[in-house]
Amino acid sequence: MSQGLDNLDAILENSHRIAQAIEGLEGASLSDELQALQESAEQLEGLRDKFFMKTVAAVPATKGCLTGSEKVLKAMETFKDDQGEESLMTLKRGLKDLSENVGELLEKAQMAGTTLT
Amino acid sequence: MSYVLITGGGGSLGTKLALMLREEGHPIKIFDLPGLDYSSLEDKPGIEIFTGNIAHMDTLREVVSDVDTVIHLAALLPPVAEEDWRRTESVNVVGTENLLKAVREQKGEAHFVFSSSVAVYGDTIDEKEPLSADHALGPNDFYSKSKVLAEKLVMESGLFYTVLRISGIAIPAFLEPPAVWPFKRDQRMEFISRDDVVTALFNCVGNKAVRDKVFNIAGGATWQRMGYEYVTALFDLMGVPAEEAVYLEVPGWFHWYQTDDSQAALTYQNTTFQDFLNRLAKAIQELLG
Repeated sequence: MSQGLDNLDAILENSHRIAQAIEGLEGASLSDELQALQESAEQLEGLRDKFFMKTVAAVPATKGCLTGSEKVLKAMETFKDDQGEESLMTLKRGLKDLSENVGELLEKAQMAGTTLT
Repeated sequence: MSYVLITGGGGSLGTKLALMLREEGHPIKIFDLPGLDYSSLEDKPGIEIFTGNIAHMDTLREVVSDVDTVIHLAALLPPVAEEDWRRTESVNVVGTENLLKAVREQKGEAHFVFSSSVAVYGDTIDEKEPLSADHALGPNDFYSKSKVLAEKLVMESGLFYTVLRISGIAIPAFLEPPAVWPFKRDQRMEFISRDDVVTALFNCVGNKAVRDKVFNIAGGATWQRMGYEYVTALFDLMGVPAEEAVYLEVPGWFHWYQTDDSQAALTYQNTTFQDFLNRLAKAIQELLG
């Protein structure tokens, strides 16, 4: 399997863990973020068969999302510990950044057009 | 200066050609389907854009008025062309017929440059020598059949014509390759860079030496490969294992071509296969940052 696909698997695994953690949270409303995350995960699943994922270009593109998802997991742990306003903001920002990373990956993976006409 | 009409001018080939011709001072008309991205052509002095259906004579009469050179690129291409013969015939054959009629009505001395395809030769996998433009025709699918019929109409139209039988056009950008490569793994093939096709078309304009001629348009000796060699070179740049490539199990249209005459007339073979790979490598590097 290519590195891009390995990274994709890791991103999806992290997204699943993040979604489960959000669902189990008390004292914070993250329903919009949860919905966005679930939609992203569905779209990311659809990338498995894309030619882009087999190429070298998929590596930096997926790395960005992977790093983003790991930051969110860390922010989730911090918020669970202190339940503070600041750590909630950090968590929300991390989720927003992750959503943007996913959007960029989805756009790059389109490889619009064909290399032969 | 020639007043040039480019049908199918909304595509990447037509757009590049229009901008090149405009830079030389030729007034241009573009005709293509509505809803395409014309942003690189709009608001450019000297370029008029018309949209419509090539099957409609009234639209064509308006579009062809005053032009003295027509570059006819508009066509249904594979795989869409293989879905429905009636639709392919309507666009590729009847559309060409309508255009020829409209041009003849208004300017009998116009120069009609027709973008045909090496598909017209059909299955030539057992041929040992590069194919000349005199080679027998052997259309074996809807697309190639439509091009053979359209070529005949062009050559019998009474207009000055140039028929260019163009091979597969390679674009040096990080784009999705075909799901199935249009040749067998061990089949001879000779593609051409898109920029060189644009140059060939450009050099037809105002060129009396190419009137009433038929040419093969392909990349030249450096592009003459076996199918797997071409694909492996591309996949290596993209970091994809060559074993991932899927090829046809029956022969595709492609072969190697004699292009000495077309190169002498149109001086278009400016991009070697290595040049193409270098440009593709640069595009990939830019994506990797």
